[in-house]
Amino acid sequence: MKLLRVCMKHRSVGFVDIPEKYRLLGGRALTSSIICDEVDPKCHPLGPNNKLVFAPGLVTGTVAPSSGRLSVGGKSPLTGTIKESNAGGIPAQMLARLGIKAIIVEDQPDDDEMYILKIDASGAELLPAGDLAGKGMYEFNSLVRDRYGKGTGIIAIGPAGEMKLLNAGISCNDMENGPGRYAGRGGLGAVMGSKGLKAIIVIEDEKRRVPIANKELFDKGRKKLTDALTSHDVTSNALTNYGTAVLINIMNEAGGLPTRNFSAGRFEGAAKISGEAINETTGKRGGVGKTGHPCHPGCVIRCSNVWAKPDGSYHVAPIEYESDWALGANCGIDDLDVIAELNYICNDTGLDTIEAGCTLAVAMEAGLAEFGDGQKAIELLREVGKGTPLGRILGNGTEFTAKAFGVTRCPTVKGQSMPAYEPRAVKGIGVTYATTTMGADHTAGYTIAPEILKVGGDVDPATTEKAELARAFQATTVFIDTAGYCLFIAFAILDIPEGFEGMVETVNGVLGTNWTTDDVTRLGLEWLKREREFNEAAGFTKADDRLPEFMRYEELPPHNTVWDVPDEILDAVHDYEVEDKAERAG
Amino acid sequence: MTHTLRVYLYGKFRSLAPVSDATAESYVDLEVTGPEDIRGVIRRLGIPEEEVSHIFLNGQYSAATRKVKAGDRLGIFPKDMALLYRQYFPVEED
Repeated sequence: MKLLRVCMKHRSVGFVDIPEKYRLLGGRALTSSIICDEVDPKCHPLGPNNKLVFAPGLVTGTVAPSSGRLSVGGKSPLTGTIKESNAGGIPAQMLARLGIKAIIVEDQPDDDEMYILKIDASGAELLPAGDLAGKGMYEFNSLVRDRYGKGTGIIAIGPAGEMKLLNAGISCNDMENGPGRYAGRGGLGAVMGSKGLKAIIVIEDEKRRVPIANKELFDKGRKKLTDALTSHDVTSNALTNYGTAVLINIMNEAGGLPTRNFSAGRFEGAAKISGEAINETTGKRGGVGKTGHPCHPGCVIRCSNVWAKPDGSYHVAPIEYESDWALGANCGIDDLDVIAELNYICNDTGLDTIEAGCTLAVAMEAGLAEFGDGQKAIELLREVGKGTPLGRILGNGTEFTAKAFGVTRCPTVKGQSMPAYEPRAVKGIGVTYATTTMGADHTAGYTIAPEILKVGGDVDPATTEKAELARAFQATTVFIDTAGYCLFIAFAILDIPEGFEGMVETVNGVLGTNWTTDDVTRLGLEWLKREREFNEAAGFTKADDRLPEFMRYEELPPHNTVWDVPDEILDAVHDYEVEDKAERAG
Repeated sequence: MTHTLRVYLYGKFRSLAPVSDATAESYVDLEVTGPEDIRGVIRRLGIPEEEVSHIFLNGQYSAATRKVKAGDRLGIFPKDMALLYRQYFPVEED
């Protein structure tokens, strides 16, 4: 395996051996370690000193189930923090099989030209993007397939990234060559745009295999993990049958589905945009629409879908829970075809759907459209791709738009908009939003919940165990992102011990290590600590680990609760001595 | 003064409601005549308890042992729709 260094200033590429310190890293741990080692935390995220790192997970490219994730890391222009965002699709597995452990893109060209990095078995080269520059993602992917062949892996940015807008994501193509698998969060597409890199094109012209140190152990682990995933209710039923949008009805029933820019926790139109509605409508319409669709080859969970227009022709893939909610309930929109069109625009322009939906909701609050006005929402979102002044405001995300229009109900943490779980209704996730290294993010794993810790040394007797559990969950999340597995395996492996062992064994099988399940927590926390240190060096303090003020004074119906978790609790999340304190108190 | 409990049904449980369209709200109103827990309501609906996953009573993630009363909103999801990290949803009990 090699590292590929790409200097955009000199337009040079070079393969280098893996330094020993990176040998056992992949995915998120690798992108974050390289950023920590090589990027000045105080640099401008869109300047020459930031770097953009792409890394397949440790087992990505093997036949381990649901393991085709690509981590992308850098300093985020949206949050100013370190960022790792990962995506499925086909390129990650191809990169891994070509022997590429990471691609490090550095510096930026002196001109405004866009380039394409082409990678195949013979090496890598930078080519002028030429007429491919400026293209929307659907046309871009189609042209690349025509020129480079079916099955070409594509990692690319749309016009939003080329314009260096803060809500620009990075697209990975899916098995049908659609651009819908996004490393969306945190504006890393703008970093790619700032480096003049339109796309990375991966051509697997020679079939190779990811080296596996201990095949027997790997196979044993793979089988255990597959058994866990195919027997657990969540990973074999709910996600496969209904997709992630099954959560629309669940969160609505919980009173925690953020509605009309986080002003209510229940949406009267929830049923119309639910996973059940997606499933039923897809069945009725026929055509190319499908549920139970894998986002990458070898996924046994298959939570993705393809949404068809009423005539059965392709509209967009996928409509996921977060996109469905952000562009639907959060904008008061209850029409799946409108949501599909908004999702399509995001995919084509190169925008994160969560941030885009929260931005539209803030714009609606500002009076640019009525809540629920789907056609106006479509018009507004199209402005982004046109690069109009209004489009650039909206393309810079929720917080930027809230500032531009004087909206105080701005649901962001560290500049990044919240996903689809209302923290006033689900307090535990509010703690996660406040304290992750990534800004408001639902994928960071469960942290210590308010019901566990009390303030001022008054410690619940069960605190030690619960705090350890919570921390183990967070650490496991980092480990999953590092291994290259889909985060949804967490449901199965946290419930089925053999599945957890299986995951660790696949990693040991690939690396030749002897890590135990305890090492998962140790390593995960170690990697997490590095990310936190980067943020501290960038100027972040515990005062940044807070939810927006309006949530403290605006009651959220139907529970009519405010965010009342004390700051001391939030600060305790990263107090790694909390267990010792509990022991002393107990 | 209402004497009924409204039970929202999801997935395959929708067939027990007058409106069982997946794109609409499916619910039944049940008379509450005396003390009863969620388990009793589930039984009354003819749903085997082992087929139930998430239960929400007035938006609170709940154990089947909680008591219901007239005016409550109950939501019941089947096993094949289970999708919550239980760590975020501590089960409310009476």
